[in-house]
Amino acid sequence: MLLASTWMALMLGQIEPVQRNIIYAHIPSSICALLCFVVVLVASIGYLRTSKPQWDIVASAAAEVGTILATVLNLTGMIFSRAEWGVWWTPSPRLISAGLLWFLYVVYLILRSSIRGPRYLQARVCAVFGIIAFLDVPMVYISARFIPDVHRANFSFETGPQKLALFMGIGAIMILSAVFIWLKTDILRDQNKLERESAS
Amino acid sequence: MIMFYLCLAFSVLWVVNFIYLFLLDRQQKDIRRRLEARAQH
Repeated sequence: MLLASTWMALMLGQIEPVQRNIIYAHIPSSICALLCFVVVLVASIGYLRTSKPQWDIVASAAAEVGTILATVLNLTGMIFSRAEWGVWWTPSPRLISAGLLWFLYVVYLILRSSIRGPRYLQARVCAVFGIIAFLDVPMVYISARFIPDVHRANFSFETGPQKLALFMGIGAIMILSAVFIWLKTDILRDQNKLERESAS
Repeated sequence: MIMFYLCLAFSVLWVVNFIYLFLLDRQQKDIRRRLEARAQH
């Protein structure tokens, strides 16, 4: 599906000028990264309410996958910026908030691996940080809409193939990120099981 | 040069996602091997 969407974007749904086709790689990653961070928020609230370790595992997996997608979002954004505006990065509200978003979730992952002590304490601290870090997600969304920005608030896809290429790209990255979260959840569950067995 | 940036953006998308998939696969195989070894003892 990812292959088909890339082919559709580059062959049938081309946008003029050529560099704007980079948004077919940029937008799906952006949407899915933000969705992963919504999952982190929901799972963090779920953990704080119920204290069930399953919620913590889902939050951890979604944060890792979201960070990978945010890396793609920032890298493809930088390449687009270089091709369109001639600079790799410029201090605009959207670019700063997207950079900050990546940084916050990298800190979240570092925090997760660096807290020593009982597992419930690690999970609780990370759940609180996951909720605080989410505050930047609406900032990324609204920054280009309400503050004057070099980054456009949205792109219009006029023709059928352009819309299809975009939706296929979003669908492909969404399925891929769901598979990533599922795999990572599985790994973390097995890791916990192994740690419990080692401790007993 | 513009085509280079276009190819670079799509390469980043593919390479980052597939490296992560590869890493997850390796982690999963490693953890399964450890679980199996523990079950045998």
